[in-house]
Amino acid sequence: MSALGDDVLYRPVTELAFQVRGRKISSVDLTLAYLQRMKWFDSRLNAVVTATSDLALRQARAADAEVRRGRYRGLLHGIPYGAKDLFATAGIPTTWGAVPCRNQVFNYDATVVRKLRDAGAVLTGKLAMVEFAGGLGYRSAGASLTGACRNPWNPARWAGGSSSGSGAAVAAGLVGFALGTETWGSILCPAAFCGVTGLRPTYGRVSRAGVMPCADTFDKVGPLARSAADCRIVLEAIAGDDDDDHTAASEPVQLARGSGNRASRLRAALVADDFTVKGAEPEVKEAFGRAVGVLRSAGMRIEAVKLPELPASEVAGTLIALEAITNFEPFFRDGRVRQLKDPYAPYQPEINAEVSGADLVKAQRMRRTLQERMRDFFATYDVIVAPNFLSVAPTIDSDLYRALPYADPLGAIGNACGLPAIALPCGFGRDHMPAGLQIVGPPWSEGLLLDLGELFQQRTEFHQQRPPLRSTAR
Amino acid sequence: MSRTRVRKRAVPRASTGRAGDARPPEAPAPTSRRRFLRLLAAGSAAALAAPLAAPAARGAAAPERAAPASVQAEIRKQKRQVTATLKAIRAFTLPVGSPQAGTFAPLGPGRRGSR
Repeated sequence: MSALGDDVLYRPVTELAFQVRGRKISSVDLTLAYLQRMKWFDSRLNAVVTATSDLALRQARAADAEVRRGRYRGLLHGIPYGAKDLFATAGIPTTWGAVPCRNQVFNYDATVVRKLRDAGAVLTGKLAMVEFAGGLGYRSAGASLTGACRNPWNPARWAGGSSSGSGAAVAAGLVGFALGTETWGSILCPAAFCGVTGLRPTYGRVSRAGVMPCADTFDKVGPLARSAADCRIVLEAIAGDDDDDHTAASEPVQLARGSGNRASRLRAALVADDFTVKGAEPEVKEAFGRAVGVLRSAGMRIEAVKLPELPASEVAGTLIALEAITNFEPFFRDGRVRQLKDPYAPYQPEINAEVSGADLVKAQRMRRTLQERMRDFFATYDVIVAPNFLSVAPTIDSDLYRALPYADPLGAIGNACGLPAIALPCGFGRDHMPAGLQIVGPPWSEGLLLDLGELFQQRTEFHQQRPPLRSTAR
Repeated sequence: MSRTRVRKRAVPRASTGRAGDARPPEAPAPTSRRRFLRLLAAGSAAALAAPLAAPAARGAAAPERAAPASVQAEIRKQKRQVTATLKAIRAFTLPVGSPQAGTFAPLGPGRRGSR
């Protein structure tokens, strides 16, 4: 058993890397400690689908051997991580979080898994997710092969979705960092509810080859980690074009710290959602207000504005529904869709049958118009600052339609336009559950968003807070 | 073009397909020109006449049993939400000449012998 304690396992990648490189900690010890912690805590969290212990120890031993030989691959060398269970991993089950895929095994790695392996990272587990990443809808936390993923801050509450295990595992210190995906909200939501930092990259920034397709023109791959600095390290390793994914952009990857403007030269649009709507919580509003104060004190000019008016939620919702129905058509065709836990998933084609071809084409044209309006918007403002969710994580037995009844216009716009966003913990709401803010930028502005995230986290300590986990096994 | 190469399809263990098969087991036979034209004609007519989602609905295996009343109520609710969504999309006025949704470009010839 490893002697490494919580203090080490909660350290950011930036610190762990220094210790692995200096041989103060071996990757094997680190890996064993994370695997042990997974064993202790996961029965209470449901964050892990498959612990990849054998592979992890092989990779960790190889990483240590390379360090001893003086070959150091970079900051992820020897660092254990987890991947949402929709990234293909050769010879290891990839369940897509869904009962009908529980025995699915690919014979290749997703591009991002290969890139992380090449960077020396150690895969310790495949992490829980909402079935099919929520592409066919879901209204309960239990709509997952592994059941509801519980929140480390309070296991009676949900970890968020659809990258549920990625958020929970990072928050619980079960991994050094995690990979998630977002079609609409699936990185930002678990980041907010679990109090971790998440980065949704620009559409096309990261290859999706070998990743479960949900809604092809919306799907993005991004990191969830302990800090913005850690997200930068992971994104640097996974970003870039890919012959296996024609949507992976050849846009230069410019993520170096300081690539954006100084905060005092930035003009930010404040989209302060209406906290009088049903489901919004005043404690989250207060936490967000204080976070805006922190950004203002750093010199940012922040002005309250309204987003361009266009039915973005309707456009995004329609396109995602139809893209997902077509992607999962084989499951409808052979009836396996009925094995999903969401009872309404089998009826999605019927529910959406009213959508005509003309509606679809119009929604696509409206999406393009929305993109142009946002391009004009970002000619005036550098970034958008907004609350992430208006309430803290609901309880795991909640009807999610009722527990989270408010709209998400910025999420709709951000995902319809393929815009990057960073999710940052910014305080606590009811029952000491995490609250978060988001900063959204124009396409390819990840470097700027990470700079702002680091700036915020230099002035706050919310990202360093740990949930009060207690293991009965210790 | 799919974002995962054909050879990189998921191969469930229970599947009849072999890992690494060049074509998934359910892939149709290559389409002849005559068959292609028939399909094209039928497709054009269908696109004009039928809602886009209908083929997916027809292709779907019908739920085995009638859904419980609570599920049926939720389905009706979700259908009403779709109707409301479409109302918003249909009410939005796109100016004539608004940009097209995607960029269409003819594909150049592939290398001889390539798929």
